[in-house]
Amino acid sequence: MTPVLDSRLLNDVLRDILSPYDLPPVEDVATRRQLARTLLSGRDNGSFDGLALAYAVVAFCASTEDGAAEVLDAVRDAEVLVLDGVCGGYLLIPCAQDLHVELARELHDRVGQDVWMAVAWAPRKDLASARATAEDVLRIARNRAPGVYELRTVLADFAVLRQPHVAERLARMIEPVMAQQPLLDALKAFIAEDGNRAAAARGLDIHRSTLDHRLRLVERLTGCRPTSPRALLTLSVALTAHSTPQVPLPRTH
Amino acid sequence: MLGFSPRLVLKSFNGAKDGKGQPVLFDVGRLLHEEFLAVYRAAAADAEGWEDAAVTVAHRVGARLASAKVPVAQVVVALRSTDRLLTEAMLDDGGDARALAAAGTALAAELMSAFCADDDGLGDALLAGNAPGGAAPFYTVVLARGSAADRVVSAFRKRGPVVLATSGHLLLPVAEAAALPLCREVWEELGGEVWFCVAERAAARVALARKEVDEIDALVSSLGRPPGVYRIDDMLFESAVLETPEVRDELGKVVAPLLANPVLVETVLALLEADGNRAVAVKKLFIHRSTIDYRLWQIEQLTGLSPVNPRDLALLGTAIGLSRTNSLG
Repeated sequence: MTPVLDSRLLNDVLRDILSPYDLPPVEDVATRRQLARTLLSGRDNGSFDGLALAYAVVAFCASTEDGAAEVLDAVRDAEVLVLDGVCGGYLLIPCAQDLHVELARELHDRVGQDVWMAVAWAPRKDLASARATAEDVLRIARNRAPGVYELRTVLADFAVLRQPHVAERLARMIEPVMAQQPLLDALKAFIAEDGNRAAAARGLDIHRSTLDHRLRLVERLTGCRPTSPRALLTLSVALTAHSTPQVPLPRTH
Repeated sequence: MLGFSPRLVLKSFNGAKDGKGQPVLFDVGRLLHEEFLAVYRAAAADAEGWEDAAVTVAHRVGARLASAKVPVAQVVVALRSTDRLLTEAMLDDGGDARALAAAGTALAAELMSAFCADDDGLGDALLAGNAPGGAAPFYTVVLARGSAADRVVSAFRKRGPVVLATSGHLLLPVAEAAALPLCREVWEELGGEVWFCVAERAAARVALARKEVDEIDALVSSLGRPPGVYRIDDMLFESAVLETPEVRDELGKVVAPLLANPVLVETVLALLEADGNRAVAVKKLFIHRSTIDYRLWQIEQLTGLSPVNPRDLALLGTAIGLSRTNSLG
């Protein structure tokens, strides 16, 4: 073969153009995992060649180990960095701004149903805060249907989760409702049905006046009237404040 | 108005407490009567130097009553009856009516000023983060908006001790649980057209309570909440949003296109006030049902939040309110 550029072989030059990232090979799982951890913990001192300028950070978890393995199978790509745990983990996917949600949705479509994903986008220097955002969004999402979530879809709950003194007061406020299952079920159904009484009563298989009565009891116990949109939002974030699960994500430092 | 005898005043005083919480069983009516008698006598005779004596005596008695935390309203009642009894007695003895009236005024003014001067310094010290000796263990800071300050102060004074600060904050030397019913009573007395924001802290941390009521007040006023008594619990969600930069920024981006359209903003607020009931909002806005449906569709297109969903509607309302305080990113 003839040298084409600075005495280098054509194949070598082409490889550099097509795959400019100087990352460890896919087979070197441990080194790549360490690189992902370094980026996610904000210890990237700019010394890594070949990294993308910005990433979509996807925090994911699944109800089973197989579900999590399925996600990892779907991202076997030289450019994607993975920090995996037992039933969840982080993916770092090179991504342009405003495309991260679409990217995560496409990924979610390729895996089974019982997977929750939280996605945030950030330039490389801000990956630590994007990771923290993704983790908290995932904690909120874990109480909801499987799917792809971002900060925008859980703003209210996120704000409360980030302010422990507010979360504590709200948790105390909702405590008496948590102790009475029928009231809790009524409130959750009413929230899930977006304030539609008829649908909530149907879902619980109770009479509509029974539902109304239970919602009035919720008001008496909390001071929040569920039929007021503001109060319903407060009650809903109080439920988040009271019981937001930890998610099985690997440690980043 | 019915006159009160000193005896009746005594009975009504059994509730007054000293600094250690012990009931004070002295008779304010009798105290005033005994202390002021010499002044009235001197005035009735137009004797030399009675004005100076009036100031000295009233100042001493005022300080004593204020430190015993005797409610001002009760002092006023005792003062009025003492003045009436002593004036009548001196007039009967042929005293100088004009000098007697002047003596009554001088005594009353000095007595009350002793009360107020004591308050001012204490309130400002507490708000500045100092808890001087003699301060109560807890204070509930109250910020009132929508009514003349003196009306609010005198309504609270009728119900118990109040410390005034030059910033306009009132400090009630009681816990929030006791202060809330007081605030609601005063709120009703003032006709319900006033906003009260309240927060309680231990004496040494009153500065934090002030910060909290100022924050609640800013939120209540920018969010256009109706008159009432507000605690941080009523505004928890809004304050969490304000304190979380990521959420502030994102919420700012979400509602920016909506804020550019005053008609849609008005529609969100009307729907929120109608608890999400479109039929009610339509009447309020004088528009057709299909018009509001179109506007709600527009709002969802612009923000990704659906005003038909109560939680999204509340979030939109919060965002609009916070944008008015320029608090969003």
